[in-house]
Amino acid sequence: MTSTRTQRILELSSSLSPTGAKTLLAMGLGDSDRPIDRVIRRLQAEDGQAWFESARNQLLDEVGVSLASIRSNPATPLEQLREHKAAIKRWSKDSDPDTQLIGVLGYFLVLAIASCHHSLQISDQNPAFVHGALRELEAALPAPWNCFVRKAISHEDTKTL
Amino acid sequence: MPEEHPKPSAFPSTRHTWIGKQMRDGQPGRQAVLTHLMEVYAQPLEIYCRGCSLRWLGDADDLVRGFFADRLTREAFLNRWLESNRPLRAWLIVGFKHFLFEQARRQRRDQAESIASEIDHAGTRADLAFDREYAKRLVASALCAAQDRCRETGLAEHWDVFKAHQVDGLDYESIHQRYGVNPKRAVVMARTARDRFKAALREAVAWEGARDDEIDGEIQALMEALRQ
Repeated sequence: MTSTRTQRILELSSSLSPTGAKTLLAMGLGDSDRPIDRVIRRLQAEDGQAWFESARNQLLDEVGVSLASIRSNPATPLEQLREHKAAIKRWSKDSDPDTQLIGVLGYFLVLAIASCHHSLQISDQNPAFVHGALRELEAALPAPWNCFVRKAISHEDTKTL
Repeated sequence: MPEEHPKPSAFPSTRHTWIGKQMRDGQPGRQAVLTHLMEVYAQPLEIYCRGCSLRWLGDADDLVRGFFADRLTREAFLNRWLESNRPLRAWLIVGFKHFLFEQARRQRRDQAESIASEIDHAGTRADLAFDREYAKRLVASALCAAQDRCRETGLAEHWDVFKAHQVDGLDYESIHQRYGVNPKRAVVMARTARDRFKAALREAVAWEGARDDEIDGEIQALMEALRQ
């Protein structure tokens, strides 16, 4: 006869999709303080919303990327999104910690935009990791960005490049 | 039905340590190990069996049960794993392949050589099917262990929020409506439960002497199997 615990394991494993299982497995990886965790903490700070606005302004002024424009324009070409991603990604490797955070934030937002508008994941990172990171980012973002990222996450058919 | 054996969620430090302790406790301990191995590994091994070249041997369910019954009566089988510094997943699948070979030889004594050539080597579709099913069982087992730990330590609500978000796919606004927890707090609660899950998963994967990067490697191998 099947024990309660065995039954729970059976039911849970049956309900897990491969993507869901991969996302959960990615949570077990050693480096728990990922750059995206630091971004989420920054967004959750008391002045998180003001920081978010300032980060978007800096990306516009210094990298020339208007996240709001490309978010609201589904016709933004994929190639342009890739260029924005590459330009913003350089910020994530900056020596200044705040610039790094802005780079990581912008990077994930561009991924969400590409996923939403083109159903493509334009990152070479593990898709399950990106999916999990966007899930967590969504909860920390102010409106309307949280709704937009939620929509990007729901694109389960997003393909990997 | 009430559980008769110690729960794996009560592991002292890693699954490896728990299995070692149970094996020293004689028959009741060995039975607890058998129960644990069956709940995590039986289905993946059955799936392997149905896809491998020796599937003509018979019913996969019977063969897996026979494997566990046969190997766990041999004290040396898990003791050798305990000393092997290898993931249990790798130890069991190799042991199972040997078991199937033994069964095949028993059935076709006169054709030992042709049977040897039928044995699947690592990396076949059957191996991949085993890894994929095992990955899901492992995650499910770690979810159960982490849930039990959260409940035992007053974090039941944290677990519910984590599961609703990460397993059931609810956004934090829906969680707010269902549980009355505001989204910002829900993120923090889910993070606390996620730490419990991470610990449970790494414990489940770990083997004697495993370094952090080796545990990461094992987890990444399972993620890769799920990607294919």
